Amino acid sequence: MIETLVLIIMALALLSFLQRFIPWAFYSRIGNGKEVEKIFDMLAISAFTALFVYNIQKLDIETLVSLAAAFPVILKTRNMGLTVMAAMVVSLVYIFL
Amino acid sequence: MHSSYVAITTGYLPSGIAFGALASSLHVPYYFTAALSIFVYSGAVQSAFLGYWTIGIDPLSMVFTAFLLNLRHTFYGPHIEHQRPSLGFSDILSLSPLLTDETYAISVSRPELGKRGMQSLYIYAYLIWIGGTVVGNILLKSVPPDVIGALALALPALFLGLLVPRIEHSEGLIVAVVSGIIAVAGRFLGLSDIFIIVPILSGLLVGVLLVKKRSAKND
Repeated sequence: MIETLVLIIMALALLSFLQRFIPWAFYSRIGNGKEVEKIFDMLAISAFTALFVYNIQKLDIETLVSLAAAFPVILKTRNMGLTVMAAMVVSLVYIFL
Repeated sequence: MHSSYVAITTGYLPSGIAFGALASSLHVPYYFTAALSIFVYSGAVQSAFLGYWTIGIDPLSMVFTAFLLNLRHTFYGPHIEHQRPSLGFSDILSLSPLLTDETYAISVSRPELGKRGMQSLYIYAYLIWIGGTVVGNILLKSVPPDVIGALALALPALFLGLLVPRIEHSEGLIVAVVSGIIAVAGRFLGLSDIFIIVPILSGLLVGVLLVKKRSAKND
């Protein structure tokens, strides 16, 4: 059992490394123009949106209020750290009240 | 630069703690939890491992799930490379094992971050993640589960913080809405996490069409 788990972890480690390394190492620039830059920009927006949705563990009023509280913080400050702190503080206040 | 470290700390430490605590509550031995964080270093794949742990691990399904979950990384490296063409093979070799959703997001949001800056940030994120997992494993006995649940909010808040400043034009907003609607639909339909590649690619496709349309208009 332990040997199998060790092998699985080794396989996952190798896979995770190769899937990060190969596309990056063998990417040849497909163009320099502003168009490619914009397409990558769109990729980032699309990925961040999906990651935002998928990282919400449970959708309840506490989560919504905490994220809603973080929204004006990022709009005003553009500071990621403060945004995360705001969401967590509101969530913790919610728990302890 | 300083804010990148704050973002990594506030995003990774709580999530690492939440992951470590969850693994501990599922009776995953601490050395396996630590090995996952050290060698696999992927929150999504590690969480999938815990999912399989509870139902019994089938090695082939586990590896295939990990492959699908990691598919999104395919685009991360090329985006960073496009922004920083001076990165050489050895730089990529040192950075790519530590490439995650969060380090990618911060790298492309902070184009001024150079090779050394990225290396130190990536190593810092890696250590914080491992530290968080270990702390989570130990903390579970003394911290209420509600508090650990609240810590898991750090990651969506981090991505919200990375997303909002990028939406500066209508095309970006349309892409976010398309990707968001498909992602929310996937969650509500109870589709597995490997579905995440679908909203990412759909948003990208819409983005490419919008960029091409604008280019054609300008020509």
